[in-house]
Amino acid sequence: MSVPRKKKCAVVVVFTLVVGSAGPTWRLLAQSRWTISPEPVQTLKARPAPPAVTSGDRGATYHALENQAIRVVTEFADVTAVAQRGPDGELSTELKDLAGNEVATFRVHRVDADNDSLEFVVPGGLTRHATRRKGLRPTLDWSNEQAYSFWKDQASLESATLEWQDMLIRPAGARRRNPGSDALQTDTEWTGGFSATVIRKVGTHTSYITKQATTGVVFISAFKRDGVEIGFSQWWPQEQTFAWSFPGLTDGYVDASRLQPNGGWTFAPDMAWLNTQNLAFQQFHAQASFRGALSRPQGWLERIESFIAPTLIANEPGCDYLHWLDQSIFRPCCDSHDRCYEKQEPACGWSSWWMWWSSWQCTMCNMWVAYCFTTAPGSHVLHRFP
Amino acid sequence: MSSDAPFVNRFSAFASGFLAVVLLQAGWGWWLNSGRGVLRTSLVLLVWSMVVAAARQGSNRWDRALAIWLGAISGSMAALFWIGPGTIWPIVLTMAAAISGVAVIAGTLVGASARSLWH
Repeated sequence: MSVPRKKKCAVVVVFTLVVGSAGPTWRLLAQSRWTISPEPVQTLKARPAPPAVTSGDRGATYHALENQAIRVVTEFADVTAVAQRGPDGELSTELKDLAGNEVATFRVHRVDADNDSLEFVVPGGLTRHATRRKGLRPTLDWSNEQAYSFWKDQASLESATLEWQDMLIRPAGARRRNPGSDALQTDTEWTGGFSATVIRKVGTHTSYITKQATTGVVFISAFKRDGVEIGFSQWWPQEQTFAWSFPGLTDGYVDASRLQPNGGWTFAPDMAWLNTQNLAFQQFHAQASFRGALSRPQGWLERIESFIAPTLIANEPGCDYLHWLDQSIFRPCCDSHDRCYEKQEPACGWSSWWMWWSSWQCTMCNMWVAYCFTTAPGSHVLHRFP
Repeated sequence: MSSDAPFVNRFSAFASGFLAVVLLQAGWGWWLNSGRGVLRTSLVLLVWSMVVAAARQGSNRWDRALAIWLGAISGSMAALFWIGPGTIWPIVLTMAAAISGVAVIAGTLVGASARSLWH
């Protein structure tokens, strides 16, 4: 073969390789979306300003969702409050100290649609009664906060007259308190196996506003179905930014400027709101997907997504350091691999890849994920991970 | 690699690929975590390979392309292990190698074509 001909052949081969690779690469680009990035921002249509959210009333939709909660556990530094909703709709909170001893109870007795009787009891001692303030819609998390506040005030409760301070009943003249800011963690449980856990921590992320690395307080709520995480949301108070990711359903973020057409943030998001908002994402988007599925043929991606649910996250939701592919056909491989890692005792880790002799089960997990990536989605449909 | 490619050329090409990925990591975080990151890194490698291929004549342009690619892989490996490898790091590195490879090949082809057209 002459030199020019060799060159021509080489160029043709390389060109074929490049074009051949470009197809799948472009398809992957089209399929993938990063979980929380500026692109998937929800554009909210301008509409008339909603009525102001009054303290203690977050609107019918919020309270309809909150009413589905059956149990809320709020952890404070010194006590844990466990609120439950009875079959008759009555709320009750048990306050327990760190040793698990009951230190107080708080009950909301339903009188009629507009009136409730509130009862705070310290075992072996104090009992106080009050009536609910007009406009306040009792929720499980409020019940916990009110119980906690009562317990903190118990020294002066015996003799003091009570007054409403915003959403809380306090001894008259007492310095204002926000029990929500004392909460370390809030767990919410709903019927249907749904639950959410929100924590507060100091975190670093790339600011949605300045695009610079920013450190600040963040509330992170993990939403689960049957104990398996299926989405999460974050609230960055300093930035007034709320971001969420529910793989296969929705992801994005909003800040005050993007909510401007709706009047900005009309309330201060708190732990209970984050958990409830997660339920809203799951319910409303799942319903939308279901309706969409009824009206059109189900695509291959949707079929795979429905096949992989429920997902399980070993450390990060989705494909670690390949989040570009979180919405692609490779996602089931990553979730199954995470699930496979979690099942092993002792747990597998990144070193399992090269210390293959340390655990044959971990090695099997790794072999399967490699196989899954090279044959996705077929391998996942046809085979189960060890 | 051909004997007429000086070591320094290959080394500088390797270093440029390495630095490109490491600097992108320092500026925008791990590049395979978002579609934008993949696009950004691919474009940087593509443009740089194009420039390198167009700037120098000779049969060693594929040597330099290979060096850039190996540099990019090494940079990705260093960055990944710096931030802490995840549970599927070999797959992540394989993906990094594939995407950066396509970008470098495409850039070199375009650069070489541009040079031959220009002259």
